[in-house]
Amino acid sequence: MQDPRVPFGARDRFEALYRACYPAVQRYALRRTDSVDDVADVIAETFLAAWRRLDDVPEGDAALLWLYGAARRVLANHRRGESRRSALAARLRGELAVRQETTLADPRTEAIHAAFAALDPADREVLALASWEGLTGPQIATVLGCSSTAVRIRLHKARKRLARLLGTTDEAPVMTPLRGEAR
Amino acid sequence: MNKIDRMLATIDPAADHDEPALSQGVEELLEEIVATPPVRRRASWLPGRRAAEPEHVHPSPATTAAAPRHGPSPLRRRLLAGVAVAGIAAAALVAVPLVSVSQSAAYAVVKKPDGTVQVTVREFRDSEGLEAKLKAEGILADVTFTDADEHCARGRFAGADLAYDPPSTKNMTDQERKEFDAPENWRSADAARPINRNTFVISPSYIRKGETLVLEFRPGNHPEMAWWLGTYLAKAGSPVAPCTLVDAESDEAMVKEMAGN
Repeated sequence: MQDPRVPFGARDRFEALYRACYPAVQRYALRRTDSVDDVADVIAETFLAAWRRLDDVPEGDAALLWLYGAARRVLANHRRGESRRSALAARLRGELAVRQETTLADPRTEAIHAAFAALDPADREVLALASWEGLTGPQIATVLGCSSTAVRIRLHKARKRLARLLGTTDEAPVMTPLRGEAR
Repeated sequence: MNKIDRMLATIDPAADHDEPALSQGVEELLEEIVATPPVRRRASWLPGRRAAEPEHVHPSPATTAAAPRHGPSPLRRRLLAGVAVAGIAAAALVAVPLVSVSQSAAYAVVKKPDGTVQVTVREFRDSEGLEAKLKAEGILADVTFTDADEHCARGRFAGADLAYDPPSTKNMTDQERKEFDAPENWRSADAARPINRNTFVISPSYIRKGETLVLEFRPGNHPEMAWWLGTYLAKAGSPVAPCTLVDAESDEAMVKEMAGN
């Protein structure tokens, strides 16, 4: 007869991880989903994965990168439509719904929204990890499970593509949208 | 941060949200998660992904966080694995040092506004008293406390779902497996589930008329293993036979395995 058991110290370690990383994971989810239900699901499933694989979760700062990687997988499965609504986090769902506010479109940022939305998902993800999560190239590589070099190249190309869509360049502002095309 | 990154920062969807507070919902989720059976436990009859998983390395999150899968959602799959393991293993176990509290009762039974009944176990004694208290809340229960080195032999009753005597899933087709995984087949795990170290919640809505909730407790027999709780439902009309004690396995091997040794 085999039994599931909580290894000694696992709960304390998980609880510390949960409390330290919860805000970052919630923000990660908020940035990539449209509904509060999805946010709750991503948070719940990500931490559940961490709990069930606590031995695989590295210590220190790398733990958050691991969680981002896990959240990314959870999201990918959601988008493939494989997931159902998590039974967990019922109350959290309610709380998130209450806090949800509609943000009014700001003409100054609308163009950036539109350009960002026009990028392909892989470009969006490296840019988001760099800008929103504020990760470095090697950290992004850890989250995505690829090499730092690959990330550097992807990031460079993604920034270029976004710049072109915005009619600007990566580094210096330009006066006319056509300039990017002429180069 | 370069210029493009700064521009993107102005459309950060999370920027308008305050630093998420550790609200009650957040606390509840924590308890819900740690109440699920942890890590890598998989009964031999559960088809596992273990073979594909490196054991003693730290693979990148991209490959480990949610391994490629087929069938139900990752969460469901995990939860069901947990449920199934709890079923066969007779153990929803929680690590808690057993502190004897002399003045108070061995357990506390509290009915919640949502109809669930919360049971806090302080001492492993007076099973009849617990049965009576549960009966007062309308729950027909059969409670057994055994010593750490023994447990009840199987075959005391006919299970109302698959938890008590689960079939082998070894040669199941996908369709059969899907049916096997149906929540209805693991109702007993919903009927009584631990929520923290010494408390479990009984949800009468998962118990049908005439069914008996069978609870088998035993203390762990290893210092790092506090206790086990087997939760089952006996079919309506299937009387629950008295517990025949047989030797329990040592918890040591399991504790070691759980610790990753």
